[in-house]
Amino acid sequence: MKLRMIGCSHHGTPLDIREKMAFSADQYGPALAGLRELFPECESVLINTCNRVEWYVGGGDVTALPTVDQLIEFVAAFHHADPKVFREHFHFLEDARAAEHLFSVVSSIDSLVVGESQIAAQVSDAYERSREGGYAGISMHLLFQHANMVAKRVSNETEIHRRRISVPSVAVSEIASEFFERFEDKKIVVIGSGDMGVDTLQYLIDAGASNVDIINRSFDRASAVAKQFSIRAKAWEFLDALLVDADLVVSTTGAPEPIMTEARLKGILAKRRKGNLLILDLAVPRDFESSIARLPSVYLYSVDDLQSVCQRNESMRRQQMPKAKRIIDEEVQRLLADWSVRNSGDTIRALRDQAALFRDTELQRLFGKQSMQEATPEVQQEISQAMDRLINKILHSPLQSIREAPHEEQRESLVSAIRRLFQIR
Amino acid sequence: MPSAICFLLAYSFVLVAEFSRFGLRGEASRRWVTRATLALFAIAFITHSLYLIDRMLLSWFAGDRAQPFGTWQEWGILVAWMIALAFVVMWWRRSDKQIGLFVLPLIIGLIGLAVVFPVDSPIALNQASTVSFWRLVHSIAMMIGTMLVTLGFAVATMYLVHAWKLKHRSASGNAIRLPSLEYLQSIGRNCILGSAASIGFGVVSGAIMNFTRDGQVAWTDRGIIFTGGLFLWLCFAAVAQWFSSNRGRGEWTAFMSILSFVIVLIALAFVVSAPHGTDSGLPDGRTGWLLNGVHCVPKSWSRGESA
Repeated sequence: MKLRMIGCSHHGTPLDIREKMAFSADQYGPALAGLRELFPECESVLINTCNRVEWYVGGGDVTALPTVDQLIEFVAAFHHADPKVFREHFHFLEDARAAEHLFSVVSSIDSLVVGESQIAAQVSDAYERSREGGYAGISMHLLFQHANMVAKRVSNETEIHRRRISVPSVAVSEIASEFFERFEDKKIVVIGSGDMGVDTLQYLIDAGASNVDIINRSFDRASAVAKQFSIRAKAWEFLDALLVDADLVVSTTGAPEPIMTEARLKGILAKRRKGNLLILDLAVPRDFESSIARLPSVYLYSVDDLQSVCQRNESMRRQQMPKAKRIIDEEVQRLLADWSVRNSGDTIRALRDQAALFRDTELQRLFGKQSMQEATPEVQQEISQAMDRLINKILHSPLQSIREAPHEEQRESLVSAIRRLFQIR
Repeated sequence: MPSAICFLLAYSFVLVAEFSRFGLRGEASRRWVTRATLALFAIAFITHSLYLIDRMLLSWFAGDRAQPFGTWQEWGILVAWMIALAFVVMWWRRSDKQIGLFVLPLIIGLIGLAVVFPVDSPIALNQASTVSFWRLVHSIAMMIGTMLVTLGFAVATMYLVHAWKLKHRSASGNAIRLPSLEYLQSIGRNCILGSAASIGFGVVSGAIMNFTRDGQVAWTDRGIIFTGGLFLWLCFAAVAQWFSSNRGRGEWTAFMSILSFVIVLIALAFVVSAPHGTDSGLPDGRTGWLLNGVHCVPKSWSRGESA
């Protein structure tokens, strides 16, 4: 089996070029169909994410596959672009190297964010799309089945996905959980309705938070977010009143100056009748004066504090890469062995089919003769069985040699010799 | 049967294993050490339990009326076992947390004290069954109260360390791993309330025991005074922590728990050194002390050495 891959990714291809090479959802089908039209025997899978565009083509016979140049020209023609630009940015790999690359992609060690969890699903979706369209056959099935196995092994046997690395997820899973046992009964105030606030809100709601108020200078914007998450929106003037009862505050405004000074918060704390107050100040510049961190029962975390946790977690994920690479190497070897067995299996089947065809032709010719017309069915069966035994005896030794070949290279050379000797295509 | 030294050593190994978790970087190695720690703890706890069962059976089969766990040594070992049991419950839910760093030293300390300062209790008192019943209630209540105060001390220390760590923004990474502040505060609060109730019950049952036996309560007895003082303090601590936690000061609950532990230590020292519960003394005229209703004398006395 042969495999070929061309593609580009965040490793060295600028975003504006990647955008030109990308395929929108409604372009997938026509692109795969277009390639099938040009190369009917070729199986293909197209992986398109925000960080990469990759084509995998495969099949039993190398002559059925498009060359790298043909693939590049096809993609360029599809996008009505100059192939030169594409040639400059596309990288290409073949067979084991291509499989190794796919396994690195699916196990997320080739991702922009090492250990991200979406890529395995994206690769699986890409294969399913090809399979459903009839563009992926046995070669791609074998390759992507192994890819799926690699993703699972890397996920189970390493800790590459374990630690969170985005600021909102770290804020909830690693900081807030050190303070609170559960979020259902906690009063949470989200100040500002920017992306960071909304992302953090999503993690909090996933963790069970239900008593949440969102407050923003623009009440309309706060109301829109509140409606999206089924929480309460409050007008800006209620900020102090909300903080009096809050357990957790997430602040993400775009204010150029701190919205909360130490003196103002002291006044709020004097009215509080609640436990510790955790403030996650995710705004840049800060929303809460840094001196607030010194106040008793107040725990203030800025985006820098969270960023340092993210970086530490990311470095821990990177430490897992050698372990993941070892798994990938093992699985590449396993895939090559599977391919080899399947290749020899195809050859053996073709050889047997050819022998059966010769036997049937000869038997037909023999029983058609006048002298054999009077032969009883028992005699005819005897002759037929004798022919079978003869074929089996002739084929036994070469087939056994293929099956028992100690090395992949030896098996491949035997298979190749048999295909050439018996003229099997 | 195992001696106290066996499980003392086993608990010490568990503590060493707990400390070794600091040097580990990967989650997998942490999991392995956690499993090893769990296995070591299981050995220690089972040996500890077997020891106590052995002592209880020996006492029952002796045929006399001597109570099991009537000596300071056995009493300390039983309280240590109860703390270990509480540790099992906490650890069951939080095996990834290093709770053992704070609880194990107390278990080891109690067993160590019992091993280093053994006291015999050869005398069985011949008293009515009503007195025996109240003595049993008194001793169990005091034991549970002491255990809760000791556990509260461990939890309070954990709270203060964790709060300090969070205040200095070192929430995760390779730093010590502890349960959430909310969990620690809740356990600490329950320990104070539980210990106040238990010691209160112990004081009342002790008074009833004295009254049943002597027809009066020796209010001037130093042991009774300190036990009563301890009860009053715990009542104050329970009320104070209730107000303070409602005002959001988890640290106050922690400080109250630590202070309660110090007061329990002082009270215990006075109770053990006072002739609390002593009635007729030894036949040769020397007095020991009554612990949990059993007359106790230091080993050196019973060996005929100078008192």
